[in-house]
Amino acid sequence: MAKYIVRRLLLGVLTFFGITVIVFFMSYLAPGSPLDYLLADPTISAEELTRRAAQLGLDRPVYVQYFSWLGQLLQGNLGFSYRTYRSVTEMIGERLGNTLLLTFSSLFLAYLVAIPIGIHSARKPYSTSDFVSAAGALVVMALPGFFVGMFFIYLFSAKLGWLPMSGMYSSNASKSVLDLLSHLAMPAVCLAMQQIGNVMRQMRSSMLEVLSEDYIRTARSEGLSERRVVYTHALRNALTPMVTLFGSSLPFLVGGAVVTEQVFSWPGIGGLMVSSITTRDYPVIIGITVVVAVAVLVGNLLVDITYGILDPKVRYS
Amino acid sequence: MGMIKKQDKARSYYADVFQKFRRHRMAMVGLYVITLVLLAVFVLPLLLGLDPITSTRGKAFLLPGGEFPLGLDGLGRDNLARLLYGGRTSIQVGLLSTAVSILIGVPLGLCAGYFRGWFEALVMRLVDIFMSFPSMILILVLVSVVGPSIWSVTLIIGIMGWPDFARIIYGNVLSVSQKEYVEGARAVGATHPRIIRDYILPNAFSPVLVTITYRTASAILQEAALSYLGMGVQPPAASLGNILNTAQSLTTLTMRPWFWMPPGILLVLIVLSINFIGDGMRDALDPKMKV
Repeated sequence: MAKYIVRRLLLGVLTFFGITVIVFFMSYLAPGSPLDYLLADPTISAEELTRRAAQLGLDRPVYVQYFSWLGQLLQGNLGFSYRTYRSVTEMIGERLGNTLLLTFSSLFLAYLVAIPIGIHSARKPYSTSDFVSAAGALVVMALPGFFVGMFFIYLFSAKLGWLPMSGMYSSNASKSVLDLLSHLAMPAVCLAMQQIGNVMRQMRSSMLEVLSEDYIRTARSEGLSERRVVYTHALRNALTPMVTLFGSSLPFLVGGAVVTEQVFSWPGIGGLMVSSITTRDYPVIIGITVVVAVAVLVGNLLVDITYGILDPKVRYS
Repeated sequence: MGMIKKQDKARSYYADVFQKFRRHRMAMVGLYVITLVLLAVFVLPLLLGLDPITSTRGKAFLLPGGEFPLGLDGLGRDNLARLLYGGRTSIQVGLLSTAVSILIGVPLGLCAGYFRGWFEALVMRLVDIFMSFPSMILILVLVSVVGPSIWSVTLIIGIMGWPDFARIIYGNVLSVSQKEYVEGARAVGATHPRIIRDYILPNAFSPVLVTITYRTASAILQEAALSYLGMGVQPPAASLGNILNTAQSLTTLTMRPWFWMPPGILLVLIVLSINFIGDGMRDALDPKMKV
């Protein structure tokens, strides 16, 4: 087990450095530099510009710049925004929690809805209800998040007036949980819809596989009720592959969060990413990319380790 | 003689697949819908002489009816024309970027599966890295560096889609390479390019057809999301995503649903019918295949 974890860990570290190299050099090639704001001043002299460049280390070879950036990164310093001059770590820090709240509540919703449907489909494969839920999964997966979001706002906010359109709280003065939940409802459902189809399909196929195992036949032959067979004997084993699905759905979740946050003006890092791209604020763009990379890597690592514990077979593959 | 036999066999295999496909009801519905959509976005604008760019002065926000069934937008442009040209943009970006993904992914996956060794390790590790990272974030970063336009978006979405193809062809090449006929070809001294062209590729390619449909659908969704965020196809060119972007203002969103409902529904129809066709193809080619 220890060997398995170490191997996964090394792989994760390797991937992380790969991503930092790619991201850093992309930002190096990107148009615009930290000196641009100085150029707005027409009286600035060439000497002053070179002095500032030296101060920021921009005159050094690119690989030296990369390593000094990496050194700062490992200390948790992501540099400063070109626009607000604030620390990028701070800007991301104050929004990261909101994004996590949105993504995890949407995941929770997706699993809550999709797992029972998946189990039901697997118990009666090729029945009408199985066909309907399979078609439903395809339809839900084809719905673009921003269109669903706009439709929700139109229906539930504008027409019915049930839910607030955007943001996280109605006012900054009074922050109640109920108010938060009413703001969270539409974005979370919208993001959950993009996950439901996959979770449902995976649950159905892994349940089908488990139900054809010998020990299930044994359990049935012992005269256990069908309910007992499905929910105590089969379900536990059928849920194991769902752990992997959680890992592979992380990237899509993050991508979906960028769009969903934009639709509902949810104050998370997705919205920050979009506004930073519009203003070409590279330190913030790079910072978010690195943070997302680390989050996804750590998520996948945890998933791999959990899976290794749950299913000893994978440790040796 | 040998050549003729081989072709006969190939034809009957795909004829058989087509027979099965035709029995897949949802796939056939998808095929009809996408045909109608293609006619609507590529032929109808020419027949009606629609113009998505020119503004009719002083008639911004004209209500639907008469000459303009979907009214005019905030700049006095024909909403129906923009809808159809937007659909055309979506399909064009989807197909071209998928072509880019195939051009990168298929050769890499093919060589990784055929030659094995360090090349296999390198390519498959890259596939893992690409698939474990949110492609939407990388696409956004790349677009911010290159600058948004229909061509940069097509290329970037295409580049980010290569792992899907590399992975599917890799797995198939691995299993096809073990077959006796490949051994036989090797034994009689066929060169690598010849083995790949005549024995490996024809037998490992069919799952790629299914991946093409799924990849096209997700490329269309990615382009729409980018354009919705303002990072994709730039106005005045129309795209389903950027029409929805301009409809985000509160009054348009709540008071003028005819601005944004039709492009949203058209987008869903396109993606859905492509996915249904993909499902039908998967079942027809091999019901056990996992894509």
